Amino acid sequence: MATESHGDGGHSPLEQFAISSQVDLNVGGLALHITNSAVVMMVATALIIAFTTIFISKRALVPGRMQSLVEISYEFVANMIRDNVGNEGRPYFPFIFSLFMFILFCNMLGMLPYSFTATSQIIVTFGLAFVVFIGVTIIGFLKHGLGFFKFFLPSGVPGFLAPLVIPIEVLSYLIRPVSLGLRLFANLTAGHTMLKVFAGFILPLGSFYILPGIIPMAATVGLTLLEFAIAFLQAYVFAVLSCIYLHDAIHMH
Amino acid sequence: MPQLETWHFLPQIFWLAVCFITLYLVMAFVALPKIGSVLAQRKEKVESDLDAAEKAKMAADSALEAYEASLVGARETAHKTIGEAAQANAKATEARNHELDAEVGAQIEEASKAINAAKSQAMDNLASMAAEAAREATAKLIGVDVAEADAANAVASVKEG
Repeated sequence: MATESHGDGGHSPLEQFAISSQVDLNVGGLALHITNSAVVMMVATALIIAFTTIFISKRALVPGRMQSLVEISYEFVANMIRDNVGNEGRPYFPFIFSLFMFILFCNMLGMLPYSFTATSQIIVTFGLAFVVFIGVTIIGFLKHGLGFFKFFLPSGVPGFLAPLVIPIEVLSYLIRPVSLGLRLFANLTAGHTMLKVFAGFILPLGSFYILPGIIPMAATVGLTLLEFAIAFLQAYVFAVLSCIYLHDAIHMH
Repeated sequence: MPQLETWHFLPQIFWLAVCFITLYLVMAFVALPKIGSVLAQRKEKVESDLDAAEKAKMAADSALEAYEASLVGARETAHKTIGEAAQANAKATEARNHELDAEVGAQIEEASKAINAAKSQAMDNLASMAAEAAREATAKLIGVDVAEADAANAVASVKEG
């Protein structure tokens, strides 16, 4: 929810997603600038590491508030994997936990005024989605060898339907990372754009009379609450879908 | 849409990879094992405490059982003791009653003997007194001095007749 001042001219609600380089870096001809999104991702990483290591260091038998929060997030993801993947999913727990926490913290940091929403960057969400997709595919082939191709022809499908079913299954498999990445990107972008649009109505309308300004103000407050819910929900959805894909790769449907 | 500009794809992907790999490594090798061990430690502690509580409860139950059994035993012993005492008491009372009966019977017998003796003596005395009275009466009436033996005979014959 970047509510920075409108500045000169540019009033597009999409302006908040503009990437700017904070530190220019060129390594061997590659542009590796530290962008504003990279800064937010670094902050998120640092916060997660601090959150998960500082509050647990007391190892209290009866946890305090913050230690409970750490334990709850641990058990939340652990249960998610147990329910969706089963016991074979244990080795992938650190990955799913990192994924969930990273997206959650990026989403939540994006809710701070004047900050930046890294998960509204399509390249970031696609990057995460393709890591999941490629990882899951590799796991599938490691577990089942070439038998993993049977995944595209569900058992019980009559042979004459194979020419129809296999392309559909392959396509639906290949579309997974796109839908996974696009969902996160679209939700965050749309939500923050909407916030910006409604917030942009407050002053122009409110400067005529107080009353018409109250309506977009109330909408903005409501949308802010909704955005917090979406910030959590989308992190959860991303993690759960990753678990389900993992389940498919391990158990073959 | 600024997200679709391509110049920032490479730097963003690069820093995403740096951040995420760092995060993954720290989570996998530092943070999560620690949290897991704290949770396991708590689970163990809770389970051992529950175990101890279960054991203590069982011990208490068996102690209660032993207590009740000893209570029942004590009650039985008490009943037995009371019964024995009552029996002994009854026996003693009976014996004492017998003794007293015998004693009283002997006394009664003795007394009745004494009464009988006194009665026969009184009867004897009566006869001799009657004879005496008869002798004196004859002496006064007709001036005949009747012998003592004759008077006694006469009284005896009257008594028999």
